[in-house]
Amino acid sequence: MEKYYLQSFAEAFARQSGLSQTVAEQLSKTFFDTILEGLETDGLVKINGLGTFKIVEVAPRESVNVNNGERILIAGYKKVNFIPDESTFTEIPSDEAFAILQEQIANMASPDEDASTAADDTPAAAEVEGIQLDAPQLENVEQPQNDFSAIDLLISTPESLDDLRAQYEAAKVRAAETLKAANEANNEKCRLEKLIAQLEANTPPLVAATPIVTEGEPAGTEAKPTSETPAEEVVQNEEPVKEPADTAPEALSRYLNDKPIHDEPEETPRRQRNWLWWLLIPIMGLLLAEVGILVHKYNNKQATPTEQPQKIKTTNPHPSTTAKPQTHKTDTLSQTQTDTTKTAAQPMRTYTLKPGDSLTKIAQRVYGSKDSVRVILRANKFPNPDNVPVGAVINLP
Amino acid sequence: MNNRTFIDRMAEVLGADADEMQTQVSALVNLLVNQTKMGNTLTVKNLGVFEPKTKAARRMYNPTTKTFNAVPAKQTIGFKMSGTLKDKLNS
Repeated sequence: MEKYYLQSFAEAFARQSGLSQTVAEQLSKTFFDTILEGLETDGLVKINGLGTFKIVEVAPRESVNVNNGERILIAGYKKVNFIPDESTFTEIPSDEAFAILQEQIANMASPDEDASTAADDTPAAAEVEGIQLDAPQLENVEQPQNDFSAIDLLISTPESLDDLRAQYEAAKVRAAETLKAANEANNEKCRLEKLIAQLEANTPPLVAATPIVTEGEPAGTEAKPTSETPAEEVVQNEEPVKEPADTAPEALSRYLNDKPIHDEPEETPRRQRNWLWWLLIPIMGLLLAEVGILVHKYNNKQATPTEQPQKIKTTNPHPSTTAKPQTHKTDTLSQTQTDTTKTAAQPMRTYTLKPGDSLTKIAQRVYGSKDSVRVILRANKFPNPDNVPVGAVINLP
Repeated sequence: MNNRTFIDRMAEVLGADADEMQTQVSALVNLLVNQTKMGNTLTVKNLGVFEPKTKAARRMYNPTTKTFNAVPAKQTIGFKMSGTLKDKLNS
């Protein structure tokens, strides 16, 4: 990265062309002067191998003053537009974005060619990774050559260009190869992951009953579980079961107990633990029921006086809020209590729309949030919710 | 002003042969383009700055074959006019 000025540029020019310093300086000076002159006279200068300079008028446009919001007119002006010549364009070698683009287009062109590339979206990510991993290598190879060719360019362009092109081709081939490898590796990875997941899903029940089978023949794992389940049920039936109605928790408890043990011979501690489970569950149930009854009784005493006024003033905008503190005070666990309060607040209130009302405003006022419009919309069937006529009576749940 | 008139004008100013001028100018242009594409800039007083410019890789659609092609990123030369030139043009 070097900054040239007319002086240093003329020096470089003299060195390259073999002209004397003064001639080179004169030439480059007149060159740029003539460009300026041409722009002033014609408004257009075309130079072969460089491009076209053109004076373009920028139309006046309206804008807004940021400070006071007033509209202001930005005056039009003239500017010099430069369009580089076709010959000045050179491809940039080892370009990541280009490789990705090429891959994308290749995928687009043959979307249903083979299932492995089309079905998997994940390889695309792997490809990008592959490219990014590969990029530093390519750059490392390219960089010294670039410096070298930079000097080369001054003396002879075609040689270094060919050199660069050859390297570019090599890099291209290498990129394609690594892409392929990454693709294959990823496919393999996906397949193995699936296999592992399958095996993992199958192993736990097998470890409990027949650990040798899983180790011996992993291929037959898929068929095994079906033959395994009846045996397990037999074991369950042997156990002293108090409540045979729900088998799911039993299986769960069995599973939980099985996991840490891992060994077959130690069956007695497992059974003891199962006993504990079956003792604990009814006790817990009884306790919960007792608490529920107590809470219910306690609430009935308190709720009966408050429920009546609620029923009378149904137009009160906050009946639910008056009911809520009670439930908080007593116990959130008591389902029966909340059910009774719900039935108490159930009768729908109505509201007659006044001019200037909007459903969102009503929702904000009644429920405390604009999002609650949905509740109103659900409770009413408006032909057009955006335009409800004044005087319409709406339900407020 | 096209290339011919440009060369003629330069030859007239320097008092040289037009054909000779053409070769010298193309050498100068070559140097300018190559130097700029290497990442160097050239600042010319009262005119502006020549600087490198990259065009990103893009996707191209060929309407006749109805296929997409990838166009590689390209390096070229850019020019930005100076403030003094702008003032001159708009005075």
